[in-house]
Amino acid sequence: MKRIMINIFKYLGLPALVFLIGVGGYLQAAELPKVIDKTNCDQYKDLFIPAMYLAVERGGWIINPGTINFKYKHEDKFVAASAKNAGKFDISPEGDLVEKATGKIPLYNIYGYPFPDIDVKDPKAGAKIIANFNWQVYRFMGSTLRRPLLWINPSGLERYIDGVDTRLYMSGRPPGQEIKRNPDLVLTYQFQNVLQPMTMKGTNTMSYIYMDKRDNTNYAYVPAIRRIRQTGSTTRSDPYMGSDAWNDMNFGWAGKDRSMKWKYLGEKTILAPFTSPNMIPVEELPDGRLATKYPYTGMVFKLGYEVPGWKGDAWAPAPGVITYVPRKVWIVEQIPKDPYYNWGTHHMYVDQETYTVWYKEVYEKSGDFRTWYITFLHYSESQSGKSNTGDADAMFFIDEKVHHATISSSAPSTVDHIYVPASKLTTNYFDVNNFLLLSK
Amino acid sequence: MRRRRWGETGLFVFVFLMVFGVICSNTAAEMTSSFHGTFESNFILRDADGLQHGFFDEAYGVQQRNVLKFDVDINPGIEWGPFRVEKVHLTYRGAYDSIFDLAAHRYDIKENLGASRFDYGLRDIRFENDLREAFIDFAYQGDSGTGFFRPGRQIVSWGEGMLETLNDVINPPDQSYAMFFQSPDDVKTPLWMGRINYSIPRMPGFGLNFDLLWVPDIRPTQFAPLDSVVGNRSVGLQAPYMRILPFVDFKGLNVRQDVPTSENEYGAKVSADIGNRFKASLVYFRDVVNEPAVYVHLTSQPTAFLTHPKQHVYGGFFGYQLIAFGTEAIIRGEITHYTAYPISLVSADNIRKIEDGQLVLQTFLLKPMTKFTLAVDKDLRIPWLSKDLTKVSVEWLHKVINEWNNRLDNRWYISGTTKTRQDRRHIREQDVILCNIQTYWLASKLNPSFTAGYNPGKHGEGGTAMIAPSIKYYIQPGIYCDLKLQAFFGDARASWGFANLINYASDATFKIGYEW
Repeated sequence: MKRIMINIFKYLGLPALVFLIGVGGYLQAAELPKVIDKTNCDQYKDLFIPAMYLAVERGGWIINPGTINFKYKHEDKFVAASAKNAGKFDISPEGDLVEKATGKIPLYNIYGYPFPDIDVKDPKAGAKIIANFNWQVYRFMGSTLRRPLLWINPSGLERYIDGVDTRLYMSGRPPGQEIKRNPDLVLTYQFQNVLQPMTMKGTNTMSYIYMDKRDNTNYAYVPAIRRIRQTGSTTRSDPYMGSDAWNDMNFGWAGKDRSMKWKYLGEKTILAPFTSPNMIPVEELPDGRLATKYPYTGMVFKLGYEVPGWKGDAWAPAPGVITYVPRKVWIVEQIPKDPYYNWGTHHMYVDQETYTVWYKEVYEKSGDFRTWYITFLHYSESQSGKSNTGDADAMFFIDEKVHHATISSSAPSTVDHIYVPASKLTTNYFDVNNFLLLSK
Repeated sequence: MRRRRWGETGLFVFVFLMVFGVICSNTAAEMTSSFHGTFESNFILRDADGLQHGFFDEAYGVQQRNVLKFDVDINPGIEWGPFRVEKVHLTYRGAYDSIFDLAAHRYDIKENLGASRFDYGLRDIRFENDLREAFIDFAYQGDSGTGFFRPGRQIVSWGEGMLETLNDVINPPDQSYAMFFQSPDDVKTPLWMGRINYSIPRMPGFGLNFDLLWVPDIRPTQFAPLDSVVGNRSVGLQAPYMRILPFVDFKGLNVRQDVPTSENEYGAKVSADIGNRFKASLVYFRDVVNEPAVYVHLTSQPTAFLTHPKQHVYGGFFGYQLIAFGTEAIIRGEITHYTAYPISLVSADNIRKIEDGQLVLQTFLLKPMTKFTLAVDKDLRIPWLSKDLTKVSVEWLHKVINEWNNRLDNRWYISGTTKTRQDRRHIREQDVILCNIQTYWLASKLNPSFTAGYNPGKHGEGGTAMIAPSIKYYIQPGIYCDLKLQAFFGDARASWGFANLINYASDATFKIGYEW
């Protein structure tokens, strides 16, 4: 059955998608049942991405639609700054964000969406949506987040690693928070520091993603020989430590935009997953950092395999844990330019209001459907209005071919902060000697 | 037990006081800590005559080691502007090898030689109770760059080589319970030292980093008990990881380490990042040679002394991310020049001299030696092997003795009526090709890897080879098992390469472990 569905997907995937886009209307949560499962999912098919529909239809997932008691949005300051960027930028034929006036890559700070008004008839609409997605992430300036990675097989948890993911964004910073010193013209620094279990401790990676056309620079620390080694760029599409995820898939997309061809496919309404129906207030520290709070206490919220008698997918959220809410999304196609990239076509489902990537479907180069991605999150806001919009509580990477999943979650920790200012996180943190210092 | 020197003692006291101060400081509320470790139990089966002569047809156990190892990291949260105490790090390792109880009849080893801390007895390989690492990191991140000062007992590794250590001579190997290439980090002996690492502020396309070391803790390559008995060539040197070493001629002699513990080692490494793809380093290290240079004192108690001369080590290494012809690979290389490397002589050529009225045999010459490696790392997609990329590394290692003389050259060795040609040209230049392949299976539940090495041999000698396949299986979260095999093949009479290991060192290792 699974094989048949995958083949249907392979040959009918795009037409089915277009059909869904066509019939997909906006439904109020109040019109939805309390439970959508295999018995009634056909009535709500247009609210699912194809991969998730298959998972619900076969009984793997149970969906609980509901309402949220907050407006899921970006803060007003960010939206206002975005409006000022209208008409300033464009996408080059190579896929880079460029100044409209000069055609050059802007090697300076941009705060807000570069493209506040998306015209879906624009052939560059797909690339512009992705640029907006990036720049709403960059507004966090820097983040240090505990990120456990869980390997889940059909029986339950089989392995985990736990560590801290640290990022520094050199663009997208609010006025007054710019980092002027950027000699290597880096756009994003990323550092994954694995802290446990013991045999994996120190298997760290660090990447520089540049503002200009250069390929990423990647380093890996090899604990067995206590050395830093350069690694190739294609490793960004390799399964990360044998998992179902890869570096470019973090947050839905964490790679270099010019490495892909982007195309706008359409829009639809999907059920977006929230881990809490209520806003969780958070405290803003004097230096501007936002400490995160989660509506759960473990490494991730409760999963199916932890429910006695559960017959669905082991990695599916336990019934009643997640509130699914209708949200309107753009659908963007992503095709790798690099023939050595590990994967073929991707479909991204990007929130029209906040540019959160809720879902993603990934096909093999052969055209076979392989992996889907889903973001779960909650909404927090500080008294000053700073929000955690777009910061994931968990990202699920589900390989339907081998029936296996990997979960990258956020777990409560004292290190967890977003909006980390330059006084707390600078480019020095990503120097190779600090990489060495933190690795062993 | 030897006396500690002021440098080593000073570092010990300094680190102890700092750790104590950090733990007792007023920043306890900001303090975070982590505690992770493993408990592993293994069994190693050895084929008595090597796999070349039948697959484990004469097998016996050489190790049943139970190891508890854990790390404690304390981040005290202490900051003074751009300065901070980054962490206090402790690594403990304790072990009990039950093979010396389970097969006591096979291993009749003296309990304690008692001569120096380096002359191991049975208790040293039967039990381990070692605070392997204890250091504190003082870090700086500011307008003048980044850096850290790390005093304490630690391991430092320099270089790019995969299997052979070239510039990586700082921490000597511990061969008392494992072979030199197994778990490279585990078989290194940590040393008390001070380390300063500093990077200048990054410039466009250019970064410069300095690594400075001062090592007052002098230790040599550690061997298992060298417990031979004077005049009796049929006993001693029975420890499992002694037999695989070329020390059989020591039987019938006292064997003692003579380590220049009053010396200091020091070194510097300068690394440059040029552009975003090229990284190169230059290295200097003032080295007390880890490998032994042996003098035999022919007295009424003939004794072989394993001495350790000093030498200069000059070297460099690089890594380059090659992107060309639609493909990508990492090219890396390393070169090292040693100024006084001990090269052993054939016994007929030992240098005889009289010291204090005693006849002394010098069994080596100190010669300059150069080693270099050139390697390629490439990720390959091999769908029939793995859904993941397969990481492949191929490395060419070349060694050359730079000065050559008659004592090292061809010789006819006459013993009684037997005349044997000792063609020593084999050792002048050597090549080894190494290959390592690793990937993941079953979403990383199975981690297979395969390492192989081949020395082609020269001047009529046959080649020698090593294979080391292994597979690790994660049974459930925190519990894993490991199966490894290492075997050696080829011309067992060859004078270099893996020849000495062919008949003695083919092992299969079964391991089960728990980690947190």
